[in-house]
Amino acid sequence: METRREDVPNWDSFNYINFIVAVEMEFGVKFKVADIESFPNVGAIVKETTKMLA
Amino acid sequence: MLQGASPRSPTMSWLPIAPDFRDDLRAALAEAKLGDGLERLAALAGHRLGFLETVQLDRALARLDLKEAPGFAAIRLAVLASSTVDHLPPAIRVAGLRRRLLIEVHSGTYGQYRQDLLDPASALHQFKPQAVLFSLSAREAIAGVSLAATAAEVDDAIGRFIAELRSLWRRAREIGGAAVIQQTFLDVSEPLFGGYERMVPGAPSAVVARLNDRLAEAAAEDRALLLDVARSSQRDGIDAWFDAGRWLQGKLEIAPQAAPLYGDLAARILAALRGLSKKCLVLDLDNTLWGGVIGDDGLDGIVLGEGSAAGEAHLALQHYARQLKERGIILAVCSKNDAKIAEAAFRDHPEMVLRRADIAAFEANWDDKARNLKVIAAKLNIGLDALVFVDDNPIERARIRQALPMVAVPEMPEDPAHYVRCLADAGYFEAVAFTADDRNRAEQYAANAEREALMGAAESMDEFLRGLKMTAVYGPFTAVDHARVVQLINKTNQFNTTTRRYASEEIALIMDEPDALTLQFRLVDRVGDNGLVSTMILRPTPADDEALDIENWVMSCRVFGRELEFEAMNIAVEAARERGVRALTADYVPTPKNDVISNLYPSLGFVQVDQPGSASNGATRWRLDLADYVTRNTHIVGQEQRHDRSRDTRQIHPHSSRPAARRLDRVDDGNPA
Repeated sequence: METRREDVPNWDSFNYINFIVAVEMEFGVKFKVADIESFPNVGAIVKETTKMLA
Repeated sequence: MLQGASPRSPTMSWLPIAPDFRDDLRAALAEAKLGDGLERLAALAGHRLGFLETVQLDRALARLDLKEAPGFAAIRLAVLASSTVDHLPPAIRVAGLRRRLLIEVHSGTYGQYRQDLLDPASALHQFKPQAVLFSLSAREAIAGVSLAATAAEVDDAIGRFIAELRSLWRRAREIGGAAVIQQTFLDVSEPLFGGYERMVPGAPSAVVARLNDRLAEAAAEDRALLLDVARSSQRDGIDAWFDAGRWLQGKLEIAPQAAPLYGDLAARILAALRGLSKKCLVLDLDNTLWGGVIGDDGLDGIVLGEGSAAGEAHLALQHYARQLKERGIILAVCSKNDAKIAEAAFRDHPEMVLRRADIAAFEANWDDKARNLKVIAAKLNIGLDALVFVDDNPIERARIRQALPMVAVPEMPEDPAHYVRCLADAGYFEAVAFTADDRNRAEQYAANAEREALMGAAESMDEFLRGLKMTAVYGPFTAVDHARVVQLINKTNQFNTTTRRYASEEIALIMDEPDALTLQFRLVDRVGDNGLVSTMILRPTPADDEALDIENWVMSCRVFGRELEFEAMNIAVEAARERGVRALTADYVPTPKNDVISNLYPSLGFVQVDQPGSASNGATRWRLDLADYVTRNTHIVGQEQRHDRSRDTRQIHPHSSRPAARRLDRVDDGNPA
């Protein structure tokens, strides 16, 4: 949950977009552009997803 | 499963759902032999995959790291883009795998494509692409057009943009004759005027529409091919193709969820360039071409035609099949039925659009359908991989997929109302040209049935061939025949000596080479014109300065067994002698499909000049000393084509002119000595 982009080797913007698309498709949610830009870590993505699913 | 999770994804509904994607992927990677792993991945690629599964499959493919493999064709594609396209190559590779194409993709840095094309030292040039795909955004084109621009000003701006594009296409072609594929322009603009939009020439969407029109005209003139995302975005809705969020985040013009379909569209074109488009539509009857079961319900009981919604749905499929036939797709029937009852429907049912004569191969019996599909392919003399099999019954579909994985079997929707849409979406019949031969193909297959009847009636093969009164009309490649020549060379798999594929531009260059000898043959007989059915490309070879080398020789399977190969060689030898050439050389490169000509060159009097088994690909090298050549007596009269400019109209009026006769003496008094 604390994992940040810089913690994952070879992580780049393409991987990040893939990851975001994966979450969006899996849970049928859509993140705001501003949120995608500023998610500090995986936990923040989980929190936002949970919020949208509620 | 991820598919369908987002309502804004284009779905590839014709592909079956993969039941165990992750397990299958793991199993593929666990194979001891890389080739077996590749086969498993190719089978998996034939399923409906979402964006992420596509990326995963592509990673597995990368782990196998195979540049070539037996039974797979390799092709190098460069993608030049004005937006981010990193997400597209995986989808293109996976869609290639679906067609047994190993596509190596080079993506240029986005926005750098002009420099890359101009700089001979660029990575793009080093890559030596065989096809170049331009994936450009409309933004650049419309940036300079003001909202108040007049129609003439808009045309001017678009004209300049298209002119620049065409010069880029030329540059791309200069890299070894690469084929050019241009993505149509996606309209991502929002309306400013509402319904009045189309009436304002400078309105962004009006400019993009005009741009796409002009693009199609330019592509037709320059023989570029179009990857039509504009059309697909109309089909699926712009939200399925463009996501403003992704554009803002990473300058992705094609939304990630559209990538799998984008890859499929690209791979369709590459496959078509390689002659791998499907050639024949095989239709089931009961509950496919009509509603109900004719054996039970009778001729009067089947649901077909006007007056019933379901009947019209089946009729729509018949209309569509009929139109496919008009563009050169062969139709066949494969049905579990009593043949007499099934044929009676074609003859006697007043609402039938398809008639018995439209069906080139008709297999209605109680045998296994896999067996019948093999019979159909054999009768038509085409590969099983050229067949599309449409059947409403999921059990039959599963049976064919399992028994004959090379046959394309679309998942059909439950409701016949959507049959046509599904078949059209699958894009099996992607074309790279529409030639006079395509327009006449249906008649040619019907004529072949007539020839078969003649053959049945003839006492001997000799009598049959004599009775056909065949003429081979021949000449060098001409601008008029260019499209058909390219199509024939790239589509022919059986009688193809080297299976070398040529881009349209390469053929144009060869036509201009003074030292090259090109020959194209049409075979005309008393039943009809078989069209342009054979081509030969001969060029000087550095290895043997007295010889011309038969670099490639193809012949359509429609005219096998008619002695055309012998007459063609007579004509080639004559033409070579006229040039003062002493010998002909040739390679035979075996493939899984061209075994039918494994004995061609020795049968023509060529002598093998390399050590048997010396080439790693099994190729053999042959030589014919022209002094030793004995003109072969055939049942075909050779007739040189007159260079007549009026023939330029032949694409429109296929039968408008017939070249003047100039019989070659050797045939009339042909003496086999």
